[in-house]
Amino acid sequence: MADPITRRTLLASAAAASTVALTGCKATGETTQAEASPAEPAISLKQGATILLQGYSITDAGRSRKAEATANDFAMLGGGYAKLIAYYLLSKYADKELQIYNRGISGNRVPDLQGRWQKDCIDLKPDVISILIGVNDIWRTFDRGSTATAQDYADQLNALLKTTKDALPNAQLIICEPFVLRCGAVSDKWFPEFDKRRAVAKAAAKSAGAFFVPFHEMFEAAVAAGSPPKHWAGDGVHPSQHGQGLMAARWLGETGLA
Amino acid sequence: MTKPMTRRAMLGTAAASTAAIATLAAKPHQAKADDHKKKTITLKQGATVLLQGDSITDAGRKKDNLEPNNKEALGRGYASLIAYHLLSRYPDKELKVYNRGISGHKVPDLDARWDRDCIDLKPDVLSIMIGVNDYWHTVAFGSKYKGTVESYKTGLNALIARTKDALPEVQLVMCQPFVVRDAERTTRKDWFPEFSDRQAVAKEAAKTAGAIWVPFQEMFDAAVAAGTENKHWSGDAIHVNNNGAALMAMRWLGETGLA
Repeated sequence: MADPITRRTLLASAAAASTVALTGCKATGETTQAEASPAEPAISLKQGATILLQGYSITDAGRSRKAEATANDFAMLGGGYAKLIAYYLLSKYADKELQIYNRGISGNRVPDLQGRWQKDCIDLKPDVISILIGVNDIWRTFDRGSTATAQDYADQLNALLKTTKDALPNAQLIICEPFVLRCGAVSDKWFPEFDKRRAVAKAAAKSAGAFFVPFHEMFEAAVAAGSPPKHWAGDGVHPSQHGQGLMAARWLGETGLA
Repeated sequence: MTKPMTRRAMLGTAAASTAAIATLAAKPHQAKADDHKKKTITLKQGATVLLQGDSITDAGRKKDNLEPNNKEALGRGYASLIAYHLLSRYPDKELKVYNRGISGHKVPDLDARWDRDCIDLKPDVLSIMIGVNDYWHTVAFGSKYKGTVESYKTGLNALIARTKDALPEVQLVMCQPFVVRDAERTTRKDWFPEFSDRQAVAKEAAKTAGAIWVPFQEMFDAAVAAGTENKHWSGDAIHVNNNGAALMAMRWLGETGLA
């Protein structure tokens, strides 16, 4: 990759046809940002915007189920990247009156999200939806005899995104790349199958006009830069506080909300 | 505040005549004069990024390891997170990231080691967070330090002037020294307004130098106002934990445009 502008420009091209919200800044041609630099699409946060973070254990991160109806609640947000993103946004855009929800559930796979999507996504009418899903979809094929394939993952994920866009045509979507660190529970047998799943998520993001946050790529690069995989996730799957911090920073960067 | 651009535009105006010129000249497509142009850091190929400060920057780094991009040398705080964000996001830039924060340090301490720990490294990007000990050491640890707001101002401005003389192209990032206060602002209440006077000095110095300003105090105040205990970010209101360090790193990346 060259620089973030190049990356975002590519994303913008993919998104332009489908999601007006993503490129609104550029499309009007009147904003100063468009003049100052090549397209740099960003999630736009309207006053009172609702932001939903969805996923499995990494998003869940021990959130309180009791408080789940209360936006911005500390216990509801859990202990991971969702919380860090939330307090970043709430402190940086203090006047926006944002409503942030974490609805990740540990162990979830795409069909689990589909099963609770009405209640845990559509009914919240989110303006911004971030989804991180896919690790359990492959992991269960190793330890519980699941036979779900990469193609199943693709079909299910695309169906979930279609459900979402049909119900919430103006929602801005963010697909996070499922990731693992090569340590702990993650052995060589995860590859190259895991790479297929990553590619599925990326392709789904592109066809949905979603932002894509390349977490796996990010962690591979952080390890290549000289940090041990265990620094980011002791068991290879669940990130440490350092890992959660790096995820939150990248999410904010890719969405243009930093 | 409304949008990040508004905040940045204010800073950008102040900076436009100084450090930004070189950046604009190097990128013709961005050269159009624009009041709303946000000032951001530019990372050239092989750029050296240096993070300087006190214990919060230090964060347990291994002092005898002087290598760039080394996990032990980067410590465990916001500097480490910033470093790995930059190294993973811009892997082809061949960046060299150094942490040279030292626990307990004040402006005069930075000044004493500035040749070795800043100028000699020839940083392209220099981030400074200093000022907590400049106040704290006047009221704690036997109150042996006799620095004033005025001496902090003089010392900080001299440090910046010296830096710009030696490194005219350097891009500066000035971080607001902070304490993580509770919602009622009773935490270290006796620090104010002496401490906020120093914060104002740092902000003014940043503006004068055309530096990017990272408002950590306002950030933590807002994070607490949004419903968190200050202890979630820092146990003693001064030294941040992993959560606090992550929030700092994110904001630093946001304000510099490097996220």
